[in-house]
This record gives sequence, C-alpha cells and structure tokens, in this order.
Amino acid sequence: MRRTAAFGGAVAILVGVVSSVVLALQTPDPQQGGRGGRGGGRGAAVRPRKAVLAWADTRNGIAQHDSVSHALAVIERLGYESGSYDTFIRTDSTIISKHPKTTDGKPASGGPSLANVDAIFFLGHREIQLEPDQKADLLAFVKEDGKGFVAGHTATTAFQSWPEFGELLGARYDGHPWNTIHGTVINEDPTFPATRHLPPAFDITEEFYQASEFSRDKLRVLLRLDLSKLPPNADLHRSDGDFPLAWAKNFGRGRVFYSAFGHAATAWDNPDVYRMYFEGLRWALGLTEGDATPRPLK
Amino acid sequence: MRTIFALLAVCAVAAFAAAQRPAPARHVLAWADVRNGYQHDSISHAVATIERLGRESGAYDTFIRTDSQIITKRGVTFPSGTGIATGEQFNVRDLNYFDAIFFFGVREIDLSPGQRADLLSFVRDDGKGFVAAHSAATAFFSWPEFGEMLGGRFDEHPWGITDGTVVVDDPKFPAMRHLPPRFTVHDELYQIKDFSRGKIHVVAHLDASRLDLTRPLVHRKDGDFPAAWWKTYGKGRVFYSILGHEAEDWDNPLLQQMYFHAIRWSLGLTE
Repeated sequence: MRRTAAFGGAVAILVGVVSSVVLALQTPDPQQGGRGGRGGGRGAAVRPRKAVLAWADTRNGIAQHDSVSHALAVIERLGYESGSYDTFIRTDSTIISKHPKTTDGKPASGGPSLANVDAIFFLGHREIQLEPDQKADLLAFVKEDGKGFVAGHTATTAFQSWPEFGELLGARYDGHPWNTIHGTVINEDPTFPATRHLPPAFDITEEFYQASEFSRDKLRVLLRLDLSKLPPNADLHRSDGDFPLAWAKNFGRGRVFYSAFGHAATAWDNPDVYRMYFEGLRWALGLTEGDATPRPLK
Repeated sequence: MRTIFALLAVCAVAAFAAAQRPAPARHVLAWADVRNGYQHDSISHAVATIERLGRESGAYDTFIRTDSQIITKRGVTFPSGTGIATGEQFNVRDLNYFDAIFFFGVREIDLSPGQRADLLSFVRDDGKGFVAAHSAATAFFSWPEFGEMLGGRFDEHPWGITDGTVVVDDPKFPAMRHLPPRFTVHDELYQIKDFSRGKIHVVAHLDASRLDLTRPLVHRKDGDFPAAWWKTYGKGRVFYSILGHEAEDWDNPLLQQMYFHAIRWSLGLTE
C-alpha cells in the first residue's frame, strides 16, 4: 500500500515535471520571461501575462458537480505551464465587480476583479447572487471592455432569471435527454482555434446538454451532436435536429466561447476536451484569431 | 502545439493509470477564503497543485473553495426556489463529507460562532486533519482557539522575500522523510510567535545564522524560527509550514512533497 502510494506520488511528480518542461519548451514566449510567477508580489503594477478569473460560485448548493474543482485546477495548470495566462480561482462572487468589496462592504485591498483580469472562465450553475451593479459590471466587462468569457457545461443553467446573461452566453439549458451516453460529435469548424485539433467527427462519452433559446443568426456553432447515431428521445425539443455542443460568438466588443463538455471529472483529463477549453480561452483573450461569424445549419 | 498535447495525453494516461488503484477516496477541502484579505498570487496555483497531487496519486479528491459556506457540520442551506429543476438529489457538501482541510486563508475570515465551533470540532472531536500553509498563520487573530489549534501565529516577515536555509529536525516525520537535511528556499520567510515547543513538534526550522537578525522586525532573540511543525489537537492531526509565498514555490518538488505527505499523514494514511 505504502509502496504503491509512493509509486503513485513519483508518477505524479514525473508527470508534472514532464508536462511542465514540454509545455515550456513548446510554447516559448519571448515577451514574457519564464514560466511560473506572477510578475512580482504585493503592489506589482504590471502583470506581464494575461489574467483569467476561474469563477465557479456554487454556494447556491444545488448539484455542485464533483468535476468543478478538478476543472478549475486543470484550467489553472494549462495557463501556468504554457505561460499563456495566470489564473485566479474563486468560488465566491465578491470579485465580480470593477470595485470589489470585502464581506463587510469595505473596498477590497487588492486581488483580482473585473478591473484587472482579461477573461473569465465560468463554471457556475443556476441562480447566483449578484447585486445589480455587479451584473452591470459583468456585462460591461465583455460588451464594452472587450474581455473574454469562456463557459463550460453547467453555465447554461446559470442566471435563468437574467435575460442579458442568456444573450451574452447565447443559449439556455434544456435538460440532458440521455443523461451520460456515448455519442458522435460533428466538428462543424475544423479551422477555429478551439476545434482545430479535433477530427471531422469523433466519439465521446458525455452528459450532452440540450441547448435552447439559441439562434444560428447570433452565434457560430463549432460542434454539434449527431442525433442520427442516437436512439430517439422524447425530451428532444427541436424539430430541425440541431443540437450544438460548442459555439463561439461576439458580445459587443468581447468574445464568448461555450461548450457543453465537462460533466465528469475525467472529462477534464481528456486532451480533446481540455485543449478545446484552453484554445477557447486563448481565442477569448485575443491571443489567437478565429472566425465567429454566425452561419446556418448545413 | 500538437506535440504538447500528444505528450500531455500520455501524461494524463499515466496519471489516470496511477489513480486506478482501488483505494477509498479521501476527501480534502482546499479552503482559501480570501474575500477579506490580500490574495497572495500563489494561492490559486497552490490549491491547484494540491488538487493535482491528490488526483494523480489517488490519495485524495479535492474540493477547492474560496468561500466558507462549507465550513459547517449542520448542513448547507440555500434559498429555496433558486433551481430550475426540483425533486432531484441535491449534491450539497459540508464538513462531514471531508477527511481533512488544506487551509490557505488569510487574516480575518467571516465565520459564524457555529461555524467556528464546527471547525474546531472537525479536528478535535472527529479526528480529521488540518494542514495549513504560509498565510494561514495570519488568519483569525481575533480567535484564540484557532491559534491554539494551529500552534503559532504570524509575526511579520522581517526579511521580505529572501533566500533562506531550512534545516530538517525530524527526518522520520512523513512530511520530512524525503527532504535533504538542509535545503535552500527562496520564499517570504515568516517569523512565528505565540508558539511553545512543549505543544508543537518542530520538524524543520530556519538556520538563524543565515538570517540578518539585526532587522527591525526581528523579535525572536533566541534564534528560534520554526519553518514547519506538527501537533495534535484533540483527536486530530495538524501540520503547518511557513513556506509557499510565491507561485513558483509550489513548483519546488521538495515543497510539493512536504505538503502532499503532510496531508497524507493528517488523513491517517501514514504514521
């Protein structure tokens, strides 16, 4: 037992070191020094790399997925090891503001906020308590400041009572007709950064969320579920057979990416999935370019 | 870029294989409520590293939280009518679900009296683990029992971020076993106060001969600067180290292994 645990530990360290070295070697960034580090400690004025707020406020308690913490940690690791961005992980919402406050209402003394991060990776769900000025700041962060918003899986269940959020994200949650099932995914856009690494069609086991209230006039679908490969299901609500699983869109000056993938913790160990989110983030951060022009279902 | 992901895939498979051992899943709460204080830039990287070490070894699963809602044994309540589906099994965790806490909070944290009692009881009465890092010693100055549980308090970092030499005092302790007798760190070295060597087992200390003891904020005149210790608190196990200020510090395998094995020890996986 001790021996196998020690072996596991050794493998873990080896894996960490190898992946770090590989990423460091493969992703040189002459502008920005070595990997790791945050460009200085207390009071550092210049943040040399992009900053991502990985935000998953699950205090509303309902159905916190066991995958959330692993997903946040993977997003942090990908940014850290590649040098593309630094991540602030938060499961509270005090920082969703351009003027964040502490819990007693005083101005926060520092740390991340919508005034100093470049994108949000959002993995929250259902109704999250935000003050009206926080909601306004979040919309302005994307729409006016041109920052990025990347969201996964449960994000379409969030803020059902807030119409503008649905407009930002591009769709709403409408159940998962098969729960978790093995399905075939059609890659509609193998040129887009987040889906470039994926073949024209591929199989994956996932809890496929059905999207509703979306329009192909407003977003560019990148991946969709091949319904012809799945058994009929009474909970399918669209007559045209459209079932998007990943899309990109613009919201004002900002970039938005969403995918339904990521229900199980193991999904975040699947390179197809985590690379998609990583590249989605890099696109949302403006580090890469991709065409998010809406197009109809072919 | 393709190469990176191919290699990462191999790594992921190796990690997955390592995690396939049939062991009961221990649950660690990585708790870093930073809503009220200065958020060290290292904290997110630290909790992500702790999560990775647990997952890849299979020793434990981690819940990361930067709020304190989960610090209760009385069940988590939330406003009714906030979901869009009803009648499903709610997946709410509280302290009863966890076997240990990895704590990287800072300064004063809002906890109700009931939450404070539950946190102490989690360690003292339930015999669960409490492993704390760096700024944890700055937390809850207004709460004497927390200081008693942790075993010491922050008393400035007189040297800022500096090179220091850590000397291992107890190489047999699980969190020290893999460390060399002496090693150099680049860290924000804390001076600790309000500790008693009769109550904590110092397993590593700072080599005072390598530190400038004439700095104005140096308050210890006897050169006793603990760098890591363990103690028991009731039936529970507590470990603390001053190390971990910078994000890069968490890439140091020595520091990773120290905290990883401290968590395993606090979980009762090693003696």
